[in-house]
Order: sequence, then C-alpha cells, then structure tokens
Amino acid sequence: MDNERNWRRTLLGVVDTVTQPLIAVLISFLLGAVVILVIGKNPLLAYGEMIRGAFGKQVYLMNTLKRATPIIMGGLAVCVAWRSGYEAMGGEGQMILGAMAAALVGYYLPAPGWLRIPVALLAAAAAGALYSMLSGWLFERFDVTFIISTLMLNYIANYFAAYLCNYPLRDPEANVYQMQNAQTGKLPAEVTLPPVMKGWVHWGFVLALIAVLVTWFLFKKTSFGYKSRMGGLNPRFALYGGINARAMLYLVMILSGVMAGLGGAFETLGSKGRYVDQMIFSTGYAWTGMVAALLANMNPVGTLLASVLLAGLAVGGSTMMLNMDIPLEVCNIIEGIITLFMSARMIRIAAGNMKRRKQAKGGGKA
Amino acid sequence: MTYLAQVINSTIREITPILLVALCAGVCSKVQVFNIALEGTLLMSAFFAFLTHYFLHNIFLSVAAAMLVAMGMTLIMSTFIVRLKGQPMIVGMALNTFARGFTTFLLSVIFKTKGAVNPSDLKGLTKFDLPLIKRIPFLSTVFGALTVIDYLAFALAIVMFVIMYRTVIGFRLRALGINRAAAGSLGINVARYQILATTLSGSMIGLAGCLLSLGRNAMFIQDISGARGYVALAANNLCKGHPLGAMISSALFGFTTALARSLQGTAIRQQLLQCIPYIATIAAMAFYNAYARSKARRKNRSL
Repeated sequence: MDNERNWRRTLLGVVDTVTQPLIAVLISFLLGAVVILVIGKNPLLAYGEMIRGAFGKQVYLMNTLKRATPIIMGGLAVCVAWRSGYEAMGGEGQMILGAMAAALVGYYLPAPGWLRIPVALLAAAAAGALYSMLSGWLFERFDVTFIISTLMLNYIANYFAAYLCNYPLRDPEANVYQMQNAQTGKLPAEVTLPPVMKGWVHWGFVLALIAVLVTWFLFKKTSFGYKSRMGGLNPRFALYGGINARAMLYLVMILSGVMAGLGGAFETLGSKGRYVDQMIFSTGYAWTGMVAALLANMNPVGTLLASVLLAGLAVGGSTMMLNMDIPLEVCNIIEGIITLFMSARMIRIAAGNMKRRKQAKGGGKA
Repeated sequence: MTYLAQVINSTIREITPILLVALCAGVCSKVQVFNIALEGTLLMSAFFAFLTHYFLHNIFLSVAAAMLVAMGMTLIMSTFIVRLKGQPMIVGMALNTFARGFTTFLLSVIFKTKGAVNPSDLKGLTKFDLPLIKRIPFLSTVFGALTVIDYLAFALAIVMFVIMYRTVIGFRLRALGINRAAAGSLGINVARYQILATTLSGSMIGLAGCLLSLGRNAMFIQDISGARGYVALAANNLCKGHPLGAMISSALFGFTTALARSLQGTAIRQQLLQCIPYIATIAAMAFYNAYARSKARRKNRSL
C-alpha cells in the first residue's frame, strides 16, 4: 500500500514536471498562432521558419548558443540568489557593469593580449560582485527589499554605462555623424574570446557550461546550498545551527554577482567586441535568464536548457521577421504566456481537486 | 519666478501617474497580493488609451478602454496568484514581458514603427483650468494645463483613505491582509475579496496610462511607462500602503524626476541626471528604514 502510494507520488511528480511545461508551451504557441493569424500570416509556416532559424543549420544553432551564453549566466545568478531565499533581480545591472568593465580593461590595459582576457574577466566578475553586494548591504543594513533596490540599481547601472560610453570612454574612431548607438573602442582581435572551433560558438559558452556545473555542484554536493538556504529563509535558525547568516548573505550575493558580471563580459569579449550603449538593456538578457531560471524551478541544468530554448525563440524570431515580415515581438508574447502558465500550479491543483472529489465520493479515507 | 512655477507644474504632472499606480499598489499590498505587473499594466493601458483615441477620436471611450484593459490585466494577475497559486513574482514578470511584446508588436503592425507615434491632428485629454486661479500670474502657471485626471488623482488618494480606513469594506480588506485565516473564519470569502479589490483598483492604473499617452498631446512611444510602475511600487513600499502617505512618497519621486529634467542642458550630463530619481528612491527608503529602526530602539529602551 505504502509502496504503491510512493510510486504514484513519484509518477505524479514526473508528470507534473514534464506536463506543466508542455501545456504552457502548447497554450502559448496556440495563442501566438492566433496573433499571427490575425495579421494575416500562416502560423505553421511562421513557426517552421522560427524553428529552422534557431536550430536548422550549424550557423543558426551557433547563433542560438551565442545568444544563450549571457542568458545562462543571468539565469545562474538568479538560481544562486533565489535558492537562498533572496529574491534579487539585479542581474541586469550587474551584467551591464560587468560588460562595461570587460570593455574598459580589454581596451585600455597596457598588457599583452593573452593577459588582458583573464584580467578583463576578473574585472567583470568584481564589478558584478560589488554591485550585487551593494544591494545586499542595503538589505542587511537598511531593510531595503531586494526587489526595489535591485530594480532601481538596474536603471542606475544602465544610465551610468550610457554616460561612460557616450562621453569619457567613447570610441575615439567613432564617426560623429553616423547615426548609431554610442560605443567604446573596438577590442583588438587577440583580446576577444575565440571560437571553440572554426565556425563554432566562442569560448564564453564553454565557460558558461562550466559555471552551470559549478553551481550544480555547489548546491548538490556541498553544504553551501543548505547553509545559504537556511541563512535566507530563517536567519535565527541558521544562527542556532552555527551558520553566520550575514556572511552567507554576502557570499550568496557575491556569487550571484560574479555570474551576472561574467555573463556581461562574455557578451563583450565573445560577441560584440566592445560595449555598445543599451546592449544588455534592450536585449533583455538578464530578464530572459530570470525567466529561464523560473521555468527550470531554479535548477542549474534546467536553466541551461531553458536558456537555449528561449535564445532559440529570439534568434528564430528574427529569421521569421526577415523572411515573413512578422514582427519579432511575437516571441516576447509567446515567452510571456509560457511564463504565465508555468507559474500556475495547474497539474497539482487539478490533482488536488480530483483527490478531494474522490474523497467526497468514497466518504473520506477509504 | 516663472521658471520655478514651471518646475512645480512639471512636478505635479510627474507625480500624478505615479500616485495613481501607487494607490493601486497600496490596495494590492493591503490584501496580500504582491503585484509587480504594475509596469506592464501601465504600458498596456497607455497603449490602448492611445489606440482607442486614434481610431475613434473619443476621449471618454479611450479613458474607458484604458481602465478596462488595466482591470483585465490586474484580473489575470490576481486570478493566477490567488486561484492558481502562481508565484507572484513569476506572474508579474510574465505579464510585463507580455505587455512589452504585445504593445511593440501592435505598434509595428498598425503604425509600421517601433519608435514614437505622434499624430499631430489628435488632441490629448481636455485641460481643466481652475476659474479663479487662471488670473493670478504665478499660480496660473503652477496649475496650468493640468487635466481632470491630474486633479482626480489627489482626490482619489483621499477617497481611498476613506474607503480603506473608515468603511467596513476597507476594514475587511485590511483584516484579510493581516490574517487570512481569521478573516476567513469571519465569513469573508478571502479569494473573492482579493481578486475583486485588486481588479477594481486596477482601474486607477488605467487612469495613469491615459495621463502618459494622452496627458499633454496624444502620442505613444515604445516603453512609454519607463519604469514608473516599479517606481510606484517603491513609493508604495515607502508609505507602507497608506493612501495619504502615497501622496508624499510619490511627490518625492515626481520632484526628483522634474528636478533631473530641469537640470538638463547644464554641465551635468543627461545620462547622469537620469539616475537621480532612482538613487533618490533607494536613499529615501534607506533613510526611512534607518529612522524607523532607531525609533523602535528608543521606544524599547524607554520601556
């Protein structure tokens, strides 16, 4: 009897984790199809175009992975912080400062190219960590909730970076009359992250994979995951258990900031080769990363998969826009609806209702 | 002197949308529905106010449309949180992503642009001049070119105070926010109250949306809400959901925004000026909390 119940519970758990995303994706693509139909296009063709544009060829697939790189890092930053009970959303600001720090060091550091890459990565990690610690300090010292402080800090970081690349760090070779976003100087080729192989994605993606493994290891195989969760969920209990909740808070914030900062650096060093104004803000990498982490229920490996899928949605969306003249924003609509329906505990609620009905019929525990 | 009057005038205009959204956030926080979809709701209602006005040329219908859209968004938000047990943060983020995508999508389908739409033949909301003040030079600039909704915002703050603190409904709403189980045992249908209260208060975001897209001239820009939803969330956090306090806290943000704008063209670069309201938000919250904490400590010592 007990065995059977355990078995049934496991099955229900599996069904829950698999069915929920499937239903969410199905509903969102159906609603997306309605939107595409309304503007007079064929949704099947559009989705075909989207999938082909995301995963159909090696070039497309590599583009998707390239776009996924900062998203994965942003997602990991959310995983680390949220698993510990701190609902921080500062990944965007940290990523912006990380991207800026990498561009700054990569362009101005008087050192050979091979040395500049690690220093740039370190600088980006430090920038992200410090900015993340700032919100941690505001929370710890002044009770400013993470949601508000990080939201505000994101905007501050974006405007500050805009100031830097518009005035003091503006590309000296930039054409003043050209209509384009302000940007910093172009990094020399030896300071950019090279592709893993010819025609492949840059090394930043591999580093992101390593970061996924590190996060997974930290939470599954060390006591860090347990300690940080205790520190975040119940500081008093943590204290009782001999865990310094304050130290854990800062440790978690540093780790989360390092992830986001590195994500920005990968985008600068691997993809853009410079900091371009609004390059993190308008693409919404950090937000997409957060959505990915939420979809994966804060599981690092799941975050990786969700990030690649969401990146594919965006990359495929631009192919769809080019070939079928459907605005790219259909993808945002789909992403929003997937997230919305993932949030609801539909399966569990339905199962609960069924159980209650059964109990009512069978007269309690029969 | 006229410069000062203009700054005050632009401060008032910056305050009112934030105040309206903060009032809605106040109701949501009192009934324990954490609403971070404010930003997306504001964006959607601003867009639909503009769209209705563009096609129907009727100001009343566009205000009504904006309110309906805002209530619809809030209804979805609260249904997913209260009935379907969605995590508030995820629900809110999802709706914000959706709103951003949906408005930009329609903008590029209908107007073939992703930037600003500014049709010159469309007029904004009717301006409402106070009869006596119109003749006084300084005050006429201070209160110049304000719309009915601007005045309504302040009136609504008082109305919300009366509803929340002086009526039975308000008492019930606050009670279920403080202790759901106890409110439930009094025979209050908690979920229904939560959904109804948030949805009705969502109409205030609709009014704020009208101010954004139709307040001065009729125009729509991509992402016109510009983080006002988040700022309103902060404003509400600062006043702990009190409607009259919301007037003060949103005045702080309105003032810093207007200040940043009035300093444009000076030696300080525009990008740095734009940081001011956000820094002020954080600073205000930090100072207030530090003050509250030290007050509590003093009280403990005297006991």
